[in-house]
Amino acid sequence: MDFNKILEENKVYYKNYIQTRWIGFYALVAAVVLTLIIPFVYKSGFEITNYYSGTAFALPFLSLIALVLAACKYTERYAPVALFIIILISFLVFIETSYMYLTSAFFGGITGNILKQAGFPYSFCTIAHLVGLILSGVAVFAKPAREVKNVTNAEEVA
Amino acid sequence: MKKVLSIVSRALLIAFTFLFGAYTVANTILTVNEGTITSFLGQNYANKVKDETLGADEEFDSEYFKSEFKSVAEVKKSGEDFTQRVMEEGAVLLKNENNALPLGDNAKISLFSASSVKGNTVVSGARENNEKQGGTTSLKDGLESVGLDVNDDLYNWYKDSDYGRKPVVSGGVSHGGGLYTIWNINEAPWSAIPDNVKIKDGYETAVFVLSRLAGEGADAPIYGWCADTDHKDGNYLMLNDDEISVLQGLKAAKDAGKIKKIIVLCNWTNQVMMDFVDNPAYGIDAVLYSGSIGSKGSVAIGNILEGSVNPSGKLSDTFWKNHYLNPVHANYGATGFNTNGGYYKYYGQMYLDANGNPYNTGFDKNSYVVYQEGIYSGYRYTETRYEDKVLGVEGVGEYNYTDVVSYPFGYGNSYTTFEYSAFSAEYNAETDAYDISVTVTNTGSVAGKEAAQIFLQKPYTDYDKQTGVETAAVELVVYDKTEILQPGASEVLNMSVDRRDFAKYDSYGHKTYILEQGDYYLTVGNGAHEAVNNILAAKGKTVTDGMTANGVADLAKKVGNEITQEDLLLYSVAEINAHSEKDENGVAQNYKITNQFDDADLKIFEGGAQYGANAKGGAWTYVTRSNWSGTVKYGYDLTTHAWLNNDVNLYKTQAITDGINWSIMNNPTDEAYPTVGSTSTAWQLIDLKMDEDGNPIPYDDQRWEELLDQLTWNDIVLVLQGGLYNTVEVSNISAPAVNNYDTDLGVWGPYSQYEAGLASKLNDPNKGERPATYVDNGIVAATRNSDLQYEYGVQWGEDCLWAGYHGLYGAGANVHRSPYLGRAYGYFSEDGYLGGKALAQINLGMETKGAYMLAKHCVLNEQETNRCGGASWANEQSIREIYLRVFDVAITEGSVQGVMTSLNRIGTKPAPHHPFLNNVLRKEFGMTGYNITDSWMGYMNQEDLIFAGNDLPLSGNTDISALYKNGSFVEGFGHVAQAARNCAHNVLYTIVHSSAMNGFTSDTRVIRYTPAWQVLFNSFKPVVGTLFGLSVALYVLVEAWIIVDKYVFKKED
Repeated sequence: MDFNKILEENKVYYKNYIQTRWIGFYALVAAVVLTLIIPFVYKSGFEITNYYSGTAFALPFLSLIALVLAACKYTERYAPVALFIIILISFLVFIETSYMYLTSAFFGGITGNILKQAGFPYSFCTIAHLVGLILSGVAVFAKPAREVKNVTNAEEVA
Repeated sequence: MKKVLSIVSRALLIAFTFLFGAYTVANTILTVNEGTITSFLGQNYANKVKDETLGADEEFDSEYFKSEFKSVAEVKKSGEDFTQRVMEEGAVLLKNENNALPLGDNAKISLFSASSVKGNTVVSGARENNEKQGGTTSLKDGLESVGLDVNDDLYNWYKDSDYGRKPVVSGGVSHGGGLYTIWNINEAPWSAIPDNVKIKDGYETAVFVLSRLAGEGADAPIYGWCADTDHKDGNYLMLNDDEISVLQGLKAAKDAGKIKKIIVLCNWTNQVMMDFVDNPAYGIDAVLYSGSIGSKGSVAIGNILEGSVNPSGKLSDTFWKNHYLNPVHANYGATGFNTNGGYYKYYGQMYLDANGNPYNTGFDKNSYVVYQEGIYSGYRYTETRYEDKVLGVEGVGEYNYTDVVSYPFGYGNSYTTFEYSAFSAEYNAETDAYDISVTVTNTGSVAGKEAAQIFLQKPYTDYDKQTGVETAAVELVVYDKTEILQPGASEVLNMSVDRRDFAKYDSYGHKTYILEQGDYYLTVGNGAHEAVNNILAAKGKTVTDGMTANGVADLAKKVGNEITQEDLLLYSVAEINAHSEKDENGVAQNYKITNQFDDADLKIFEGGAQYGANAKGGAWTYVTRSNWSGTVKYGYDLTTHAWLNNDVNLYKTQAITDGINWSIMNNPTDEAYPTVGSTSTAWQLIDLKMDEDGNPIPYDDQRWEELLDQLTWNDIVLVLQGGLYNTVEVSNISAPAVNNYDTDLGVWGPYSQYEAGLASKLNDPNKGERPATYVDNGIVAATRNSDLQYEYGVQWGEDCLWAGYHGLYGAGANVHRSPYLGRAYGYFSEDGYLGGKALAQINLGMETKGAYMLAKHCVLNEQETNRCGGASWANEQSIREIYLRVFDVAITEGSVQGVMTSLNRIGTKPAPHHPFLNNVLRKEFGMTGYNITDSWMGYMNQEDLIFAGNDLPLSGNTDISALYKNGSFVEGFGHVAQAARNCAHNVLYTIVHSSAMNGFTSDTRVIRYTPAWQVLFNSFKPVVGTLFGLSVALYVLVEAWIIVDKYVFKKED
């Protein structure tokens, strides 16, 4: 095995990789970043309440797996689907953990005032999950990279 | 081909994964809320059938509770008429100089204020006020219906103007201030009213309608809170500049001879500071307090103004001249722990952080209130300090009664005059009560009614001073009201005062009720102040000693000579009741009363190990009569709470999670489990309604034990699942479901609400209408007419029968600790006895129609601010003698079946988790119905509720999964299982005595089935699962195909 050759090929691959990223990839990264913010906001708003769950806190971190998959040549195509499923599970666990919060907050009816009082943490977590789902859905179907002429090592040297 | 398949497989995977996940979560949520959903959809869990094989008597009349009415129109009209009757007896004439009232026939009046217009006039609490205006008689229509002539031009000008309450939104922070409240006043200034409209020839009487509106969810602002509304000094309960301008304008018009009389109609349940009443700058001739006027209170007000009805109401609260001199307000509203030091500033319903940004406090976990005034709230403060001032007691400090009080508790004027005479008070050993007699004579010139209010003074002994037992100068102990007395006529009123009421609660010494030796006085008076003056007169005091007026010594009797030292602990045990434990011979034993609220008393609360090494208590000082000047505080002084912030901050986080981290489920025992699933008897619930002679079967009858033995674990869980307005059927014992209405003052949902209601059964054409809008409970109490209150309760029961409700989550039973209490309209009085007595009468009336009452909110829920989890601190004596007193009287005298617990915490412990439910409400008061929580909150958990004696949560989610698994209760929790069985007992006992049993005979059986919506939802389960599985399989196959092609066959896409 020629280690240098493998290294060189990977350098070229990742150079191309970076240069050719396209909508699908960016949507995926945006979804991952957004998803990674969720647990911190969730924790700040709910840590000492009955609506806090360690599982709901931890699940969004699994979105990092999607980044790893996306960075690997052979698994790149599975990253968006994996991310979508992770975010979906995270969202569902969050809803199941906290829906009684809404039951309490909306006791007496859903009004603009009550919605405000539902609080930033809850609103953010809900919206971020939904946006994350949409972005990962986009990533599933959109191309992760632009189609460009394959640049070989020889050509680049020439 | 591959490409298309790949896209399709991914799309299907995403779609069906989403569907599968959503279905799974929905399944969980719908399952725990199934009762609520089923009820919402109007579907059923069960059918009621007759088992003909049992051969029940077909002639038996199983309509146990019948209506007196034939139609919705009849029952609604009856309710509306009640609002008029109650207002006619409850409206309080406060001032009437120069015989300004009555106005006489066909008088011409001008209604001033935007609040005179329908929609702005306060008819109920804020929520009902907004939604029920349509069904009420406007003030103008009410006055005109009795022949008064109202200035149309002025009324129409107000009506067409933009004045009146409007919501204000500023800086993104709503000033809605709660669920339904609008805080700004928006009165038309005098200058804005056209001259040709406000002064009209012949309309010589000006009636200024002074309104304030508050309601659930927020208290009225004080101390500058919500300062950018149009309040004066940020105080909602002061006249603002626009209102002042109108009063000044009216005075000028009166001085100029353009009008002759200025009358103020107090249309509020949150009293405005009354310093304006005698201000010469306003020239007010008469003041009538009407509270919220309900459906037809306006007609009653017309009758009173016109003179065909003589007012006879007595104030249910002290009317303060200056709210800033009410010591309660030193410890009221928003007080918050802040981990960063300092306090959150209250701003409407929101809090602002140091940068002025709204801060979401969640469930008020950082909040607390301290009832630092102890027992000295309302008249117990104003009259007691007054007496001490007259008596020259050391430490009384600066105190001028006339600066503090405008009209005392219990006061009420009339168009005639009454004289009390022949007052006697004799101890009756046979009944262990004092027999009271007083003659009331109409000494004036017009007919009228008069309520005789009996007040008691207990001795304030050296022991009390040393031990911290506080004693009010007077306490209301009983009242009665005459019939209409013609001029010169008399009526002798005979009453009885239980000597148990002579006892005081000794929080720190004997830790129970004590009956001390000393001089007791019983007296009669037109209000608490007159009562104190009578007692002072009996003590030889006159106006020369600083009294505001001379009293009548003959109307105060010194009593209590028969009390000996041996009687000290006579009332330290509860009377025998359904919960009394029995000795080995089966003889019921009196429950020994002792402290239950040490953990809510900052003076003795020491936290405990769970609160850390720094926990401490004992630094708190309550207001004491032995040192007024050193203990009474005025104004909102957070610095007095500094140590509390430092120390209790330590407890707060753990306290709010008591219901989570501390749980009975962490403490298994080897206690035996109760019997379940017994087949040795086959009682049905209807069998336990009454015996062969038609007498109710008592709560502690052996047959109840047998019926409870029949219940399976699943049956018990079914009973405990009810809560969010309904319970569910239990087919094993043929128990029906019940429907409940959440209210402070009567039903106001439509008559068509439930099929069980007569309106639906008869398919009444007016079934979509709502019952009458009832006047506020303070006016009900002000009638001092127990018979009327009873009839009022019958009317509430009729509304329940017609709308299909079997019980009410109400009425309100908290105390008017402060005039700023947002929900004052739903509660009766600042006095526990008065509120409890009114509740008792109403419930006794409701019971005749098979409707039960869960009085709320138990206990220490005297403010809306921070009600959801805020910690309420108070000492045992004030809790028992003021705040629990309402529930005590309501349960013991009115057999009120149950309570709704409060959202606040008692000390650091959530109210429904507190042992007072079992020990006080049941073992002491003898309550036999069930408790329910207020709206379910995160800091409560069901297993602990059950163990503490709170039977049901007000929630569609009844999660007892820690206790009940796989069809049985888990091992090690026999004590919780026994408690769950008790809960079932309480709920079933309530149901069997309700109108839910109408139509049930011994052959009636309840058959449960799965409601249609659940069948439909469950039918999708295999479909959703299959689609999800197939989509996964398709995706895997397509991807495998791609991989194989690419790496095995080296084919590219």
